[in-house]
This record gives sequence, structure tokens and C-alpha cells, in this order.
Amino acid sequence: MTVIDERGRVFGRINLIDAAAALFLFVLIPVAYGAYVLFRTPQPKLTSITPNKLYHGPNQRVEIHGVNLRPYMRVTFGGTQGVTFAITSTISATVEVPDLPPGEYDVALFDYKQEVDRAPHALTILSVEPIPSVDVEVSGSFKNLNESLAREFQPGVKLTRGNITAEVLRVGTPVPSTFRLLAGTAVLAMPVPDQLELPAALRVRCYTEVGGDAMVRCMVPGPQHPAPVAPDSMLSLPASQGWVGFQIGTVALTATPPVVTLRVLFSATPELVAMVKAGDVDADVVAYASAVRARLVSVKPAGAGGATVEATLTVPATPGPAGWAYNNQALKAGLPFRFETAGYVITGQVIGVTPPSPARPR
Amino acid sequence: MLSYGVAGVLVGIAYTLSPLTVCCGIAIALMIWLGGRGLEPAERRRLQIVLGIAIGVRVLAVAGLFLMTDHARVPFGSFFGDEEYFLRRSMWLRNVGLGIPIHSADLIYAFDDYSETSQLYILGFLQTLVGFAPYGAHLVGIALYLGTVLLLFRLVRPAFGATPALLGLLLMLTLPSLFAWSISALKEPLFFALTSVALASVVAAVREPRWRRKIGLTAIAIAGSLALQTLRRGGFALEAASIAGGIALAWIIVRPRLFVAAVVAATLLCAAALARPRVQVNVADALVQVATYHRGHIWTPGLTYHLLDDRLYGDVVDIRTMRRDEAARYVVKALFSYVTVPLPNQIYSTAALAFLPEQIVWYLLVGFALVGLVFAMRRDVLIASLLLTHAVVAALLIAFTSGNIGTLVRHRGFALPYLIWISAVGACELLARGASGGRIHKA
Repeated sequence: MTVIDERGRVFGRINLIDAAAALFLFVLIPVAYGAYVLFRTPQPKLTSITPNKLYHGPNQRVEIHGVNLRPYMRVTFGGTQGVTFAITSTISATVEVPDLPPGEYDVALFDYKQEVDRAPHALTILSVEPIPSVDVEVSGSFKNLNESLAREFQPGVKLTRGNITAEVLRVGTPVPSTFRLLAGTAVLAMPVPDQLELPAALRVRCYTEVGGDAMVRCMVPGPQHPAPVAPDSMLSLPASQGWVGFQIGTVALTATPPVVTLRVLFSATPELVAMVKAGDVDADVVAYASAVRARLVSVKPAGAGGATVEATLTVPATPGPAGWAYNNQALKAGLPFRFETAGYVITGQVIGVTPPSPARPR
Repeated sequence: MLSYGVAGVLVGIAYTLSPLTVCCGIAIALMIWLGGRGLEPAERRRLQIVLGIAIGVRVLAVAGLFLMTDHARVPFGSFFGDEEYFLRRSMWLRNVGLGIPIHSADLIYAFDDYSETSQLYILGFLQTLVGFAPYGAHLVGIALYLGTVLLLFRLVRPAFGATPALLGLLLMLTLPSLFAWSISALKEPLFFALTSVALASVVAAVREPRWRRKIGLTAIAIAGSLALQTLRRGGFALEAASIAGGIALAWIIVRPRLFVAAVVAATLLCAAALARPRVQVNVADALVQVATYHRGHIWTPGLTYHLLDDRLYGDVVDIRTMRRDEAARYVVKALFSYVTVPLPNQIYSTAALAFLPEQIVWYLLVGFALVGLVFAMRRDVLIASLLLTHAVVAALLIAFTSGNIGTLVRHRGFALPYLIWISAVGACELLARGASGGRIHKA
């Protein structure tokens, strides 16, 4: 018997075409379906993202939830690939979000070759509250200078690198360097041999930061860490030969402050009272930084014996909830007032306060 | 009669000074006698000479340790850093068992999860019987290791021939890393002993025609494997995988058609399993775990080598973020490094030069093993398969987790007791064919 006879039948029983059709129908199709079921990798799907809203900023992560998630997948946010993909299980994975500007982003899931699912507008990057920057005037001195470096700092010179901005307003004469160090609660002045310091006033830009104690501080960025704008704080500023330290002595805002006119009775020994002259300038807080300083406008005797004088002063004041204030002293009739120059310190009693006409305490 | 009397007195004095020395000496003598039983006189003499020298050198090392230790400064000396801690723990356990008060800190350390193993209790029990024996514990290790070597020697000698068996024995007794394990008071000698007992029992059980003895031998193999679990975490699973894999390989490799079908079926099965996301996640998770172990080794003192991409060694980097290409490189590097490390460019200190002689021998052993596997399979497929699977399982465990060169060289010792015999067959075959154009004959 031939395998296929003259009528096209296999072993004389089944037609060859019928046999081929039967093989296809009953063998190949079930085998193909079985192989498809057995070897098919289930399609991954995204279901949600936690959190789905983030504030703009670096080093953030989201957890993606889905089904049939697999290792070594990738996730993109608006076309920008996530930094990492760490799978936890087939239903969740952690993805490090790239640095994205504020906006809404589609989240797409990729296997090693193609996109497998997409969640439209699934992630929103919110813009954070803008951090206000302010310019302040600080007086103090550049530390650890040599003579050639000291000559670099002239009024008008700008010290800028990255987001650090400072401008030299005034400079004094180089003097032997002295550091003010915090030891416990005391501040010690420690001379540094063979080094010079240059007294100067600067305008620096700082950004506000709310500390753990909920107080607002203004911080000047630095090469390693930011420094607060405060007396004795050491700023690191860019110079031609590298970073140079500037230790703050006093601080003042650059804006022209309101000026309050005070009348004060100063009482002291005749010798001290005799030193009080019209034109004397208060040297306590804003000696270098502000062009507007507390100043004696007039002085006249106010009693016999020359032990009391009535002085009229113009004082840069700040409005506070309880009235005007200067250097943490409330400016009110009846309260004491302290006036300090390079040569003397005298305390008197306020007998009259005339606020500036255009500005009123808020 | 007088000489017996003097010998008895000497043994009595020795027992008084160190009971474990006498017990181990008797055990070793018994093992040497059993090891040479049934051999030709010349071969037995060669074996006894080799064993005598090997034991003598090891006992001298322990005696040297005793003599070189300043006992006014420390209570006892040790070869390895872990050993001192290990011995102290066994002593604390002994004291607890005898109701002797110990420091509360010692009590905490005695039952600490770190390095928890039944070997501590065994040493503690021995010291309960004979008193503190920090040096005797080394002799126990020597006796156990010698037992392992002789058991494997007696197993492979009728299967592979007298020359490969003697060569394997020589290598087992002289390789520096195995020498170090063999004189240690750590758990490795007992681990080798239990593994070789399980292996030999399985071979005997498979070949035993009588069912009662077959069941008894199987029970010994299972008991040995269970004892391994108490000795080392995962010990039972590793031994079970080695035995099951060895038996399966031996059964199927002599059935070529079935072997090909099994390879195809296994490939399809793997493909079907790996198509499941859950399996993929589990595989990736296992890879992350071993990579994490490896990264831990990188931060240990000494010379280290990298298997992962540099970014994954960062302090705060999560290894789960390993990408597909990084994972592939890690697997390839792990397998390659297990065989090759330390490469000449990684020997950058005088201390690392100490690895060089063993490293050269290791390269030769790997090369000879590739040849020897074919001949060993032809001679005794069951023993060759079991030795191979034991070596491969031990190698895989170390290859993916190690990262310290010194530790890798030492831990390759876990695969060596099985690989050595296959390499010895390869070396003998190549030498015989090179010398006479023929092949060596089984004894």
C-alpha cells in the first residue's frame, strides 16, 4: 500500500487535504493556543500613583501601583525617565522622580523595549512658595588677608559666584586680625598673629529660612553650607584667590528706614554731659552698614550745674506692634534711651517722640 | 610487657594533661587503620606515610600555637579572629550547662543569634566532659577533617582509580585554604564531615540491593543533611539540592534521548515560569539579596573586588534599583570572578602574594576538572555527578555573595573537597595520555 494513493488519500483512508485540515484544526491550533497561554507574559497595567501631587524639588519618590508589574521596567513622567525603578511586588514599585518643573505629567510604563501602559495627567508637580530674598547691609571685616588681597576690596567691587552676591560699600584700613569666637555663651575676641583684617560694609543678598524654632532667618549661601546673617556669623565670599571669610559685626536693612525725632533728657556727671555734642552719631548697631544712623541734632542745657541736657535726635526706627523701636529699645515718652558713641555711653529718658509724617506704625 | 606498661603510663599522663588529645589520637589511629584496610600493602604504606605527615604537620601547628601564645596575657591562642569568639561562646555554654555563674554580658553573647550553630553546643558538651580544651578543639577539627578526606578517598578510589584517589588525597591534605580549615576550631571541619557522610551514604544507598539497608543508609543521609541545617542556615536545602541534583544528573546523563528531551523540557519550563511576573519578581528579589550580601563584603577590611556597577556601592543606594543590564553584568562577573579572582592586577600588596601559590593550583584544578569530568562520568557516573553538584552548589553560593578576596579564596574551600577528585581524574588522564598515549587503569 502506498502512503498516498492515486486519489490523494493517505494510506487509502483519508484525503490528504482533509488530513492537513484536521491536523491544523485539532493539533496546531490547540498547540499554538497552549503555547500562547503558557509563554505569554501578562500585560502590565498602571492603576495609581502615590502621592500623585508633589512639590517641586529634588530627590523625590513616588510609588506606582498596578498589576503584573515586573522587574527592570522603566517609568517616564511626561517623557522624562524616572531615575530608578525598584520593584516591591507585582502590584507596586518605587520610582525616583527626576527634577521636573511644575506641571501635570503623563506617567508611562515601559518594559525593556516599548511602552506598555500610560496614565494621563497622573502626576502633578506643584510650585512651591517662592522664597523671598532680601538685600541687607552688614558691617564687619574680611578676615585672614594679606596686603595684596586686602587691596582688592574697594567700594563698588562685586563678589559674585553662583547664587552668592555681595557688593563692597565701604572699606576701612587694614588692622591686625581678630576673630570673635563663641565659647559657651560668651564671645571671645582672639587675635590671629600675622594676619590682617579689613573693616568693611557690604550689601549681601540672603534668602529667608524658617528654622526649627519657627523664627525667620536670612541665610547667605556658601560653598559648603549657608551662614545666617547675624552678628559674629562668618560668611564665605568669593574672591580672586579663593574664598575669603567675612565676619559680621552689625546688620541693617538696605532700605531707608523711617526717621523718628526724639527729645531726650540725658542726666549724668557734668564731665560726661560735657562730652555730648550735636552731630554725635550712635555707633552701636549700624555703624558701617546704614547711611542713616541715630544722630544728635541739638543739645541744650536743661538744668543748673550742667548735669542734665535736653537733646534732640533723629533715629532710624522700625515700626512694631507696640510702637516705634530702635535697636530693640521702644521709643516712648518716659522710657529710658541709651546712646553710645565711640567715646561715651549715656542713658536718658525720652520726653517726646515725633513720628515721621509719611509713615505710621502698622 | 614493660613497654606496654610505660605506654600506659604515658597515655595516662597525656590524658591527664589533655583528654581530647588522647581521644582524638585514638580516633585518628582508628581512621588510618580503616582508611588503609583492603588496600595493597604498598599502597597502604604510601597512604599511611601521607596521612602521618599530614597529621604531624597539623599537630605541630596546634602545638606551635600553644607555645607561641603568651598565656599570661590571654587565656588561649587562636588561628583566626572568629575562632576565639567561637571557643569563648562554647565555654560560656558549658558553664551555663554546669550551673557555673558567668557575666551577664557573656550570657547574652552565648545565646546571640549571630553565628548561632550547633557546633557551639558540641564543643560545649565536649568541654563539659573533659574540661576547657581550647587547643583540643583544634584536634577535634583535625580528626573530623581527616575523617572527611578518608571517607571521600575510600569512596572515589574504587570508582576513579588508585592514582587519582591518591592525588586527590594529597591535594586535600596540602592545599593551604583546606589546611587552614582543617586545623580550625570552627564549624567547617564538621560541615565537611557531615556533607561527606551524606554523600557517601547516598552512593551506598543507591547501590545497596537490600531494602532494609537501603532505607538505613538513606536515613543516615537525611540525618546528615538535617544536622547540616543545625550547623549552617540553609544547610539542609543546599545538601538536599546537591544530592537530588546529583542523582538526577547521574540517572539522566546515561539516557541521551531522555537527557535531550529533559533539557528541552527544562528550557520550556523555565521560559514558561519566567513569563510569570511573580516568578520574575522572586528571581530579581533573590538576586538583590545576594547582591546585598556581596556589597556587605565590600565594606569589610582587606582586599575586595567589585561585581556590581560602581553606582550601586553608594551608602544610600537601594540595590533594588539595579537595572536589567546591571543585573546581567553582575551575574557574569560573579561567575567569572569566582574562577579568576585574584587576577595578577588584583595582587597589589605583599600580603596578597600569599594567595598566589594556591591561586595557580586553583587555575590548574579548574582546567583539569573540565577534562576530568568527562572521564569521571565514564568511570562512575553517580559519584562524579554527586561530586559535581556538591561543588557547583557550593560555588554558586559563594560566587554571588563574596566580595573580599581573602574570604573568596578561603570559601572556595567549600567546593574544593568535591572538585579536587574530578580534577585529579583529569590530571591523571592527561598525564597518562601524554606519557604513554593510553589511559590509566582502575585499580
